[in-house]
Amino acid sequence: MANWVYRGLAGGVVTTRYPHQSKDIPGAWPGIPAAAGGECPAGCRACLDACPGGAVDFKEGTPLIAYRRCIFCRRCVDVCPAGILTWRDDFRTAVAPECELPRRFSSRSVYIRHVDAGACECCLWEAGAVSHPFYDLNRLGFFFVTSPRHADLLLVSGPVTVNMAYALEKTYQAVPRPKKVVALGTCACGGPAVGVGYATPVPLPEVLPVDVFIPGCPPAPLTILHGLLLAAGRAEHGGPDGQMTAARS
Amino acid sequence: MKKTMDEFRAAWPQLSPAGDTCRVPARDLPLVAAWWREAGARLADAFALADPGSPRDYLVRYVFEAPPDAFVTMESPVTGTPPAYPAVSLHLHAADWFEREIYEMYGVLPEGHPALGGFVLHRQGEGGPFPLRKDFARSTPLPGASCVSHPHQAQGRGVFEMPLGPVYAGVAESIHFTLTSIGEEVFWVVPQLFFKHRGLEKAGEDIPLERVLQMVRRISGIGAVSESLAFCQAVETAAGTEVPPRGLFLRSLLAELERIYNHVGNLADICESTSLGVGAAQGFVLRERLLRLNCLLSGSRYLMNAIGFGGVLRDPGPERISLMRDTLRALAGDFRRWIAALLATDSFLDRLQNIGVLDSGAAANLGATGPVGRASGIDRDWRRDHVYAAYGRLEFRVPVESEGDGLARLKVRAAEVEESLALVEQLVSSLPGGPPQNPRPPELAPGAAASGYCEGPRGAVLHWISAGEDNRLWRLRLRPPSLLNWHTFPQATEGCAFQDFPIILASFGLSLAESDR
Repeated sequence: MANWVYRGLAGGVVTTRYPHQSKDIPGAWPGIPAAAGGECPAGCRACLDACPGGAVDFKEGTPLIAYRRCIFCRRCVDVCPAGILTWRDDFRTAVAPECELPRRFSSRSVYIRHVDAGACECCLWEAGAVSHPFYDLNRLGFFFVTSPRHADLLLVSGPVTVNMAYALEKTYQAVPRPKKVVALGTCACGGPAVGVGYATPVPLPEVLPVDVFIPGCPPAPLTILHGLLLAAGRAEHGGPDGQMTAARS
Repeated sequence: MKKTMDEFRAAWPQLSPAGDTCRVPARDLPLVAAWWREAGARLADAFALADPGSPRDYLVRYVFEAPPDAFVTMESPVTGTPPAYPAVSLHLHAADWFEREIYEMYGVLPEGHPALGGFVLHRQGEGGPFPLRKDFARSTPLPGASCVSHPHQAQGRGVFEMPLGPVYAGVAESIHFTLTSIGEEVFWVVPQLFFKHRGLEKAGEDIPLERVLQMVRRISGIGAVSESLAFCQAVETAAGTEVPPRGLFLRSLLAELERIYNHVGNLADICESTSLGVGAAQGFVLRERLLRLNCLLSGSRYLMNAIGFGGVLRDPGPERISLMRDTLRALAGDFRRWIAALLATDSFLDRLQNIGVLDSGAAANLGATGPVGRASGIDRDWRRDHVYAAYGRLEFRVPVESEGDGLARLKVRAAEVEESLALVEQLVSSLPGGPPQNPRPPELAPGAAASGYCEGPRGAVLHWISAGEDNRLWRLRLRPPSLLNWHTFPQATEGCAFQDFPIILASFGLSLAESDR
C-alpha cells in the first residue's frame, strides 16, 4: 500500500485551476459552432438544411445556433460557403432559461444526485470525469451523493424514457426543497436526437422545471463544471456571446 | 463453411438453402436450431420482422455463427392470430432473451417459452401494443408508468431481498437488481434491464440514412465507432459501396483507439470498485489523456462523428497521426507501469481472484462475447474470425484466459490494450494513401438486406438492415454485445458476497445504453 502512496505523490498535481484561472488544454473540449459575423450570401440556407437536429435558426439574416438542440456534428460549419459559421474554441454552453442568473445556494457546498434517464453513456462518463483528478469538482464544493434525500440538485441526463419516467419523478419528489434541476446533455435539454418516439414521449423540460441547461453531445467536463457553477449562482451565462467572468468566490 | 453447409443439406434434405440463408417451416425451427448447436455453431442473434410482402405476417430469423468464419440464417414465416411458432429457447438457452424481445416487439408468440412479458416494456398488457408492428405509429405513447417487478420471489427463514436501483450509486446507469440473500451470501441476482429503452430500432425505420447513422452512433456513445462501423458495413454491403483502402485502415485505427480508451476506463472502474483509490485515480488520468487524444484526432472526445458511409468522414492527416503515435508511445509506458503495479498489489488481487466466476460451459451456452467470453475460454474475436476493415492485413494475437473470474477479465483487457497499441503502430506504418471516403452516397434498392459486424470493446456487434422504399429502412436490427453478456451476468454472481457485487459488476464492464437501446 505504501507503494501506492508514493506513486500517488510522484504523479504530481494534474488538476485544472478552473474557474480561477483558465488556460488552454488541448483536447479537453471539442469546441462549439458559432457565427463569426459577416453577411450570408443571399438566400443561402445551407446550414439550415444540413443540420440533422433542427438547431440552426436565422435571425436578421445570420445563422443562430440553438445549442440545446445541437449535437455538435460540425455539418453546419462544413457546408457554410462563406465562412460565417466557424468552429469556436470554447466550452461554455450552459444557460439558464430565464435571463436572470439562478439564485445562489445559501450554503457553500452543493450536493448532487445524478439520474440517468436514458443517456447514451457519454454524458455519464463526462459526469464521472468531473470527480476525477483532472477536474475534481469537490474542490469547488460540489459532491455527488447516493441518496436524493441528501441532495440539493438533480443532474439529469438522457431523453427521459418511458420506463424511467416514474423513477425520475420519485427521485425529484425525494429531494428536499429548495431544489434545482440541471439538464445534462443535448438529449435532456432539447429532447432525443431522433425525435419523439414511443419510448421517449416527453422531453425533460416538460417533465421537471429545469433551472440550467448544459448542452453538449456530450458536454465536456469543464462545460459541466461551468453549468454547475451557473446553477449555484457562481458563474455567468455561457454561449458565444456570454462574457465569462471568473466565479466570485 | 462449404463442408458445414453440405452436412446441413444431408441432414435436412427437404430444405433448400440459398447461399447462407435457409427457409425453414416454423414447426422444424427448434430441431434445426438444435442441429446447428450440435454442429458447433453459436446463436448470434434472433429477431422478427414484418414480411415486406404482407406486413401482417412475420418472419423470424435465427442467425448462427458457424465455425470457422460464416454466418448462416434460418428464416421462418410465422402467420396466424396471434402469430405463433414453437420456441427455440427450450433447445437453445441463448435464444431466451431474444424470444422475449420478439414477443414484446411484434406480438409473435414463441410457444412454450416460460417467461414472456415485462421484459422490454415494463407495463405491456396481454394484447399489446407491439411497437415494431407496421400498424403502430412511432410516436404513439405507451400506457402507464413503469414499476419494479419481482419475477422470482424467494421466501423462507432468513431470506432477504435487497432491491438496488434504478437510481443508485454515484453516477451509474439505470438498472434494477434484486439481490436475494441469506446473511452474507447472495444466492441469486435478478437484473431488470430496459429502463433505458429508447425504441431505437423503431426510430431508425423510415428516416433518411444519414439520420439513422447519427442515431446509431449514439446507441452507446462510448461504442460510437463499433456501432457505426457495423451499421455502415451493413449499408455498404447492401448498396455495393466500395471503401477505399485508406478508409479501411483509418476505420481499424479508430476502432483500436476506441478499444484502448474503453478498456483503460474499465480497468480504472475495477480499481475504483475495489476501493484502490490511487490506482483508480491513475487509471482515470490515463483515460482522460486518451479522450483528449481522441478529441485532437477527430474533433470529438468519443470519436463520435468519425465513421461515415464509404469510409471515414475526416482524414486526420499525417501531422495528427504522428502526434497520435507519439502520445500513445508515451502513454504506453505509463500504462505498463500502472498494470504492473496493480498486478503486484496483493490486496487488490485478493478482491478479484475467484470472484464472479463464469465457467466456460455457461459462457458458451449463453453466448458470452468479447472480453467476458474470452476470459472464460471462449476463443472468439470477430476481427480474426470474420475479417473486416484492414484486419486481414494486420498481425495480432487474441488473448484468452480460462479462469473466468474477475482477475481473468482484467488480464484479458490489459493484454488487449497491449495488442491494440501494437496494432496502431502497424496501422500507422502501413497506412496507404488516397481518399479516405468513397464520395458516392449509398443507394439501397428496395428489399436489399445485409448484415454488418465488428468486434467492439465490449464484444461482437451485429447489425442487420433491410431496405424499404425511397432509400429508407424497412427494418433495422441492432444486436449489441452487452445484451449477450447481461444474460450471463446472473450466473457469475451466484453465491457471491454482498461486498463483491460491485466488483463483479465492474469486471464485466457492461453497457446498459447499448443493451437497452
